[in-house]
Amino acid sequence: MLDPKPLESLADRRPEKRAVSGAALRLAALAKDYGGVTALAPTDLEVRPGEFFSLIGPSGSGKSTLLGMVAGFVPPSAGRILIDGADVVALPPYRRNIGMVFQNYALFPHMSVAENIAFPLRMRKMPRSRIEARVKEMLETVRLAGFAERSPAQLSGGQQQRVALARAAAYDPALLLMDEPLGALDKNLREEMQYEIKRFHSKIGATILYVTHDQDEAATMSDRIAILNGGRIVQVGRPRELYEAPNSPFVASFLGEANLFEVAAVSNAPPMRLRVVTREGLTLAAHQHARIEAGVMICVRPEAIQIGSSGGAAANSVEGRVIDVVYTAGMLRYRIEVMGGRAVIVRRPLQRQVPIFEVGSPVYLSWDLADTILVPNTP
Amino acid sequence: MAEAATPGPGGRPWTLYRGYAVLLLPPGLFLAVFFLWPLIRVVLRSLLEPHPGLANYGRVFGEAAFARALSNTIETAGVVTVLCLVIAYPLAYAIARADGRRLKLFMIFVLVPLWTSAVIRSFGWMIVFQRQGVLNDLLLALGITHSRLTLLPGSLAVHVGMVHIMLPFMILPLIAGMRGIDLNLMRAADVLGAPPRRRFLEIFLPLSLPGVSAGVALVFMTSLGFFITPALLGGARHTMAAVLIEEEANVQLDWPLASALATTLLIVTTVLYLVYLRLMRRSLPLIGR
Ligand SMILES: Nc1ncnc2c1ncn2[C@@H]1O[C@H](COP(=O)(O)OP(=O)(O)OP(=O)(O)O)[C@@H](O)[C@H]1O
Ligand SMILES: [Mg+2]
Repeated sequence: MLDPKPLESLADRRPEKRAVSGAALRLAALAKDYGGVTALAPTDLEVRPGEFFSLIGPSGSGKSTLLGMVAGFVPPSAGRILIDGADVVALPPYRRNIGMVFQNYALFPHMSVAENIAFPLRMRKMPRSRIEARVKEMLETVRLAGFAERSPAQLSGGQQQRVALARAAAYDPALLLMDEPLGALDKNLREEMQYEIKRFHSKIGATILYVTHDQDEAATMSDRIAILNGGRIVQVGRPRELYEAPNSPFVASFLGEANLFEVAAVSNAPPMRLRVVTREGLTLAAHQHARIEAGVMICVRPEAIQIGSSGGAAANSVEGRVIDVVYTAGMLRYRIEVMGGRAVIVRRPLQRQVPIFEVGSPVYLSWDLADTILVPNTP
Repeated sequence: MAEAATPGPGGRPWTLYRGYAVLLLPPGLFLAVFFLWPLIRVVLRSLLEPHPGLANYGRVFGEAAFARALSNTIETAGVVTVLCLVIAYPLAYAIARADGRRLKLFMIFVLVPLWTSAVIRSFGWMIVFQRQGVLNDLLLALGITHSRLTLLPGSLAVHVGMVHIMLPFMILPLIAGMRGIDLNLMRAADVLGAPPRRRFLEIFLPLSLPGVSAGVALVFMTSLGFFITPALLGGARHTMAAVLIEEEANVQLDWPLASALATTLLIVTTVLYLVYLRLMRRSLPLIGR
């Protein structure tokens, strides 16, 4: 679930100093077929130098396939991968100079923590004294000084994760790939590691291509996000853009929670407003939209809806009845039955002075004009 | 309901394996009666017959022929193990990477030789190695030799015959070990900048060592007690311990001496195995489970 809070992305806080300049990554008509099964349809994508860019999408949408092709161990069926303008498709992974963090960390079990971090440096024929200094530095960066001689099996999941991070960044790659690096961690640790990775990103300055299926995580960390579905990128944008202007019902409901309404009729209503009648018979008001000729749906975010015992002067006001209410951390989550038997989800912060409506009580839902979001009805 | 769940006084905590020990009873009994007891009798006989004392062992270590057979046994087992490893490793590497139908096909190739008995396969090698045999014909025809070689009986024939029989026992643990290596580790090494050779030497090879260790132990220990192949292909000069024991028992009818030889072989094998375990535990501290 996406709280409004993470929208003030950590990415907005600009970094102090960066060690390397990130690489620009461009995918041109990059595609992957597995014997007739399309894992990734021809895809174009541009990731800017130093950007924290996330790929999100449901399971099987092609995220790992895309990452694997950039890393080099999944040969593309077609297309080009340009890193700082140079096509790397023909290069083996070990000559691409990319960093990568795997979901299950992929630490070498027969090497100590220090040896793991030293591995890419040895492969680059760095002199021993410099390797030692660098390993020490990296261990301090990920706050694991003193763990150098441990074996990976003697570390917790979060610590292994940090070793993997240190190993991937030890040689200052200009592009760092991460495939669900926090997928195996529990919620608290995951949130801690999100900050850790962001801190890390602002320190090293590499371009990061980050895969997750946790939309909260993506929204918290990313400069921009690409949403994949069925082997296609369906929308690219800043977290806030995607949340506030989804280009399809899929994006609307994938990124955060959404109340989606099918539209029965649209008409202009002065001044500069739209009057929308939904399939259920609700009459809603929205800002005049530039392009409504295509089929549209209405999306109202659960956080945008006020709940009260009487209808206010808001642009949108809907009568309903409480079906149930659930308490989650700091939040009340109502389901409200409105006209046509339709259930609408409402989320309100849980504060002392806010009245709680009991199950069955009649309520009024209201929201601003701007919160009636028109979504092109593309699949 | 809640009362039923509280354990009674002195009740042992339930574990998943409770009661499974009963399953050990039949094989345990069987082994005790048909393996352990005869073994004890062998040891006792070597010490008590014809007179109590170490006279039998005096002969084992005193007579050059016995000592030579013992060292020859260890040497042959060592050579066979090394040859098996050298041949099996690349094979297992290729097979471990295959999957689906190809894997099944390869596995059949590995397992099929096991369907034929060691006796028949050793006879097969006699036909190959004898003076008028296939190998000599071939060498002459190719002009590599100009007269027939006497390869039988001989250590070459013994080595080849034993490697042939032991190979699957090296390949199988190797494959099992190699298939257990996480492919992501190889990918990680690749992305981290390791070219194929370094990837193999620094990641794959060390991680395959537990499988190597299992295969080496299996082949070496089994080879120490090999009988049929050395009996058929090795002459008097290449006698191995098991052949000697059989001869003392069935031809010379000197059972006490045969027992002392057998006990010596058992002790040598056990000591070698313990030393091996120690070495392995020391060199594989991180991977060894
Ligand atoms: N080696 C393969 N052979 C055949 N099909 C594959 C292979 N790898 C992936 N696929 C298919 O390609 C599609 C995309 O897979 P991919 O692993 O990229 O998904 P993903 O977005 O990473 O999913 P997840 O979130 O579950 O990791 C899936 O339909 C998958 O079944
Ligand atoms: Mg994946």
